[in-house]
Amino acid sequence: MNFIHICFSFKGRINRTTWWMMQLLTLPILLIASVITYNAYTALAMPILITSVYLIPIALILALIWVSLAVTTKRLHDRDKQAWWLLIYFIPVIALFELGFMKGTRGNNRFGPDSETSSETVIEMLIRLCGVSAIVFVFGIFFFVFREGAGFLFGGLNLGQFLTSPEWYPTSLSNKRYGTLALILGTFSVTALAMCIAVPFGLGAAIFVSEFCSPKLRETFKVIIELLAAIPSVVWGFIGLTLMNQLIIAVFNAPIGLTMLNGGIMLALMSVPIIVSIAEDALKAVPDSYREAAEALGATRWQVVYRVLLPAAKNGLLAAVLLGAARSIGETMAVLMATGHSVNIPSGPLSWIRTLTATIAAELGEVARGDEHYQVLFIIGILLFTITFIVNLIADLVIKGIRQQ
Amino acid sequence: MRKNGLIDYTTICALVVLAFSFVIIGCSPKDGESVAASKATAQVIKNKGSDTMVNLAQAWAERYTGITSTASVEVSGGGSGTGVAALINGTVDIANCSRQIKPKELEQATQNTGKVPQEFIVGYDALAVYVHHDTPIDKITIPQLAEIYGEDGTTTKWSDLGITHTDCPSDRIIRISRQSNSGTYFYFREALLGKTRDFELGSLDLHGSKDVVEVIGRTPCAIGYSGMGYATSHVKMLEVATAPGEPYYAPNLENVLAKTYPIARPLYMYSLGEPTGEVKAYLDWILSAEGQKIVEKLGFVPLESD
Repeated sequence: MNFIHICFSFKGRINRTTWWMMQLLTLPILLIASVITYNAYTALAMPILITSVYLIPIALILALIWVSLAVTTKRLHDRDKQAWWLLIYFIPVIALFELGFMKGTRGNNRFGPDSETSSETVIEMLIRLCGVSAIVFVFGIFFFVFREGAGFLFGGLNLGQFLTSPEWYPTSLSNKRYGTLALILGTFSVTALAMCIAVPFGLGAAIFVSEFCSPKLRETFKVIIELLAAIPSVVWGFIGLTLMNQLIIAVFNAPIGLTMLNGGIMLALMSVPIIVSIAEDALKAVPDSYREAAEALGATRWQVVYRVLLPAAKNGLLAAVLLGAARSIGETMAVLMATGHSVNIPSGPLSWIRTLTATIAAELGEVARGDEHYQVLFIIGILLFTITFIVNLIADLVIKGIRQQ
Repeated sequence: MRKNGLIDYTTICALVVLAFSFVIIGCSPKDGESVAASKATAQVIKNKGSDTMVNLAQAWAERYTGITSTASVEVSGGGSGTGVAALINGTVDIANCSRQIKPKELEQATQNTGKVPQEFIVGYDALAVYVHHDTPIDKITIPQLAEIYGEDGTTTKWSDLGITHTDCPSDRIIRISRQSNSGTYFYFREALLGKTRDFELGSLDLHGSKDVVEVIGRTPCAIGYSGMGYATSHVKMLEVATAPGEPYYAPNLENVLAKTYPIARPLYMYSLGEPTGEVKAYLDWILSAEGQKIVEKLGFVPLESD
């Protein structure tokens, strides 16, 4: 029985699971179509309604009524009942029991063969929809971000200045300038610094947890590391703003502690848990026979790690590092509070900087919708999208390259 | 076996937490209901906008709810721009604004809601220039501030101002500012530099009036601006003169009321159309002597009583 048959035919039988799955599929569509039609009906006069594109949801609703009748009829057939039993719909609770919970007759009946396997197609369809939805969401988000910024991106924005000028004056009265070079460099420098701190610590901790520590210690360790991941980013930001600020002033004799170093440390602390848990999984996935073979050849434990495990797990380890980096690039609140939020070409770990994400967060709340400044903030969103896309693409290519060797 | 035990233990913990959260969720709507029931007849006045004014608006709302039973006031912050945006969308009754509404926004609001926003000045705010309390400086002039903050300004070190700042070994002036579209930023820029010059980049643009004072209190090298109501014992407010040779004035009530302190601005509330009913009663109360007493209590400057 194929999917079209399940949806539209009044012949044959379907089982309980299929009936439930079909409800799951049709109800959301019915709901959305109804809301659209209702809004159209209340907002517009009737003649306009009939000639407009709002005919589409109405047609959809009619089609869904057909589907619903067809599906329920087949379910009734499964219970060895004729289609006039559809009237059971008017008895609320009993209808649900009859259609949704009662098992069909065993073996063949007058309407067709046993329905035990009829749910396969529908479940397959649902799973396929879940897979497609991820793609739909990504493109949907990209579309909406792009739509908000597109007007100014193609009409008026000086793209050269946008990418190469450090002058960010979005609210100037006399001379508006939208240069994001300082923000781009800020994002990259603080991420790089965070990775310099997080990668050695994260990979080191992963190697220790997976290879060197006792099972009892390992469980405690993992719980504590996961606890680190549970701290909200605004709390990290607050620690940066108060505690780390004074610490950096005291230790480095800096004029102010809200610096790239401060933000980098906060980001490192936030991405270490991700790096540790993924890297540990990658190391765990290396078969024990590798370790045993290496040890049988007389390798020390460190040699096993360095010569056997790391090369064997390098795809997973790379994924761990890249996911940690992605976390750092995308982080907003902590860097907004800890880095000083200052438009500045970074000149060292103790300079104060500003990132792309923090700029959007700080300024989007107070711009007039549809304004040039508003659109530029969305163009920054597109820029961030592009950066992550490139990072992911490079990661994919690198991993593929490693695999082919 | 040991591992299984651990899993069971975590599962039980999770279930207990879950159960408790259900109890809490189960309770809270009931509390909400009882509050709602006692206020069943009260009209809700929605009030949103300026971060500078949020404490003040909150204090008004609390006091007002105590003296009237026919209305309750909901206050939220987010910034002047956020308040005006909500006004344009017609989702608030009153927008708080620490700057005047822009002509474009006025037009948008009129177009969108069919009502012309009405302006009320509800108090004044003196923007104080703050430094760390160990900084050996008490007075500053507007041109000096302009050279510190303005684009291509010539003053970057404390020694440029003629002082030796021993607690700040780098001698560098750390400029604290606000995010570039806050009402406070707009007002301070115009007061210092007029409409044609911009701030020099590289200042630390913090995200709230309170954060500015907080950071300056921890940073000996810093200078910054914020409402005078936010002063703490860790910071010092400077006396300001309009030009060298002119008299210096401290940011306090008398000087602002006498209009001698140079960096003071009015605080606005905007209603959609001519206010009526509860909204009108609330605005009238704010402008009354009782409402203005709260303005003074929170460190802002009340309207002159005439």
